[in-house]
Amino acid sequence: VTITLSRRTFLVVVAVVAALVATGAFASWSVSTSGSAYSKAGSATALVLSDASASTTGDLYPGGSGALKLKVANPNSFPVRITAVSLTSGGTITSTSASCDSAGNGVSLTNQSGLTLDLAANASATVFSISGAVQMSGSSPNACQGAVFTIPVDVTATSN
Amino acid sequence: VKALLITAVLALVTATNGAASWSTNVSGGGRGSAATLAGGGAGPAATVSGTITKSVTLTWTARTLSNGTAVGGYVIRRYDSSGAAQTVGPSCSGTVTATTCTETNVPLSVPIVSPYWTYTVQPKQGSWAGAESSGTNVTV
Repeated sequence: VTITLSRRTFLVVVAVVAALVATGAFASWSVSTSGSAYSKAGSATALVLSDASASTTGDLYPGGSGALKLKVANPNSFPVRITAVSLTSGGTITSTSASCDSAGNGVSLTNQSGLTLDLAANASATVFSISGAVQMSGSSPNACQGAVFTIPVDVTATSN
Repeated sequence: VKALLITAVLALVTATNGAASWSTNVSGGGRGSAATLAGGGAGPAATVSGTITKSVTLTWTARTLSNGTAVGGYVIRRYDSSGAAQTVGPSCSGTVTATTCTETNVPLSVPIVSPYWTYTVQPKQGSWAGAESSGTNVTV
């Protein structure tokens, strides 16, 4: 059977298919080594961040910098790469000491990009350490000694 | 038709890029922690010199933060025998970054007024302060 399409009709069909892909109808996340396996983009699950306090090393001090610790699990069936970490817009860094925070704890986060923190498919909680990402000002209160800081972050990841 | 095609291609490119990444916003996801500055310990070693005017040279062991980083400086204090803080001479006043200093023109420790002076050293790091050391009594 031969279907004859005019040039105009053919182009319209191509455009409609492309638009369907663009709207997610056929968007895919992963590709297998032979043939293709598909899943909708919307089925990807957000990474799971949990408390990394136990992995901190007490490296911050006035005028110095320390590591940001991230504890991340990947519930997806495909590997992912964390590429950026930034302070959540409007987020406030707090500590375990109220007197440390009351006049400003002086702790800040330098947003990170170009990271290559890889997680395998279905990876359980894994601790990543980003050196030098956290700073403490010289005026950080004395009460901040030994405090653990919670840093609200946005994590950007890509399928890997 | 051309415009429709261009729009569709752009949408496809956007979809291809967008489908490969996502962002997750998690509050409280990161952690960091601070060192501690203990201080305390033995008082400074003291050596008195001079005949008419007296100087006291103090030396002490370097203190570190709990993460092993050497502290940025030290505060030297001198007390009379009743425990009242005295004004420390220029070379040992303020924050001393070395582990030795010499206070010049130290007043004589007069028995009736104050038979001795007591020196202490306190580590500092920015606005942090460790505990003061024990005192070292010096007769001048």
